[in-house]
Amino acid sequence: MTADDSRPDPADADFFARFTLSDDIRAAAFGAAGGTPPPRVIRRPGRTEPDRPEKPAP
Amino acid sequence: MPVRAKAAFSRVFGSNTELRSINDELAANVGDIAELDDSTRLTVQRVDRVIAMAEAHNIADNIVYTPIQVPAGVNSGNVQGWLKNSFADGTEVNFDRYTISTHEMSQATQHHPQWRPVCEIVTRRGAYVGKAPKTNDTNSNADHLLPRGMQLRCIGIKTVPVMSRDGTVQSRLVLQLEDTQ
Repeated sequence: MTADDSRPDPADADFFARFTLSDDIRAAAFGAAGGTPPPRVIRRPGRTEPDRPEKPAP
Repeated sequence: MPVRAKAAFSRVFGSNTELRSINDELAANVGDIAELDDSTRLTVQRVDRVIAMAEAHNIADNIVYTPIQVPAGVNSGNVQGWLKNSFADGTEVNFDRYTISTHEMSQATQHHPQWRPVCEIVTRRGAYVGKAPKTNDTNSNADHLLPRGMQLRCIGIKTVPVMSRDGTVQSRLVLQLEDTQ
């Protein structure tokens, strides 16, 4: 982070309401061929150990 | 909001090329940003900061929907079996990526074949952004951007009827998830 990271922009009062995701992002999420990759399983029911190592082997 | 954080957020969520690149790196490193190069890590930290600022205004749980892809080896007739095997009740999962969701299931599924499953996520996390195309008379037409590293618990797999924009009703396979954090 740099000093500029803390510099507020006075014009962002309703930043989130005005922000619109790009069309290609919405198409990738909700379009005919879109969708999010399935989530990563980290623990199966009844198991106390993680389902697999947190990071793949190099 | 810090200028550079806002610029990073706008860049990442202004282009699917940029978002997919960041998300692929997060997934490849199972969410460990220490493994990212300096520039990407700084971008991720700035985006995290912006989402956290939005989350500070969240006062209630949201129910949001996002379609998930089915692995190539699973045929359309066995999606329910794949879900049951992979995401039994009590299974804990992690979305390493930033995830785009919507408050309206019909919006998440309107272009999708009937067999494609949808995640229904109950969470207080994430940011409402913008105004998605409105499909009903509620105020739920904002997209909902979920932060990376969402840890969720599977609580059910159901088939539910969903009315599409043209008034027809289709069955949808839903993987129900709740936030564990």
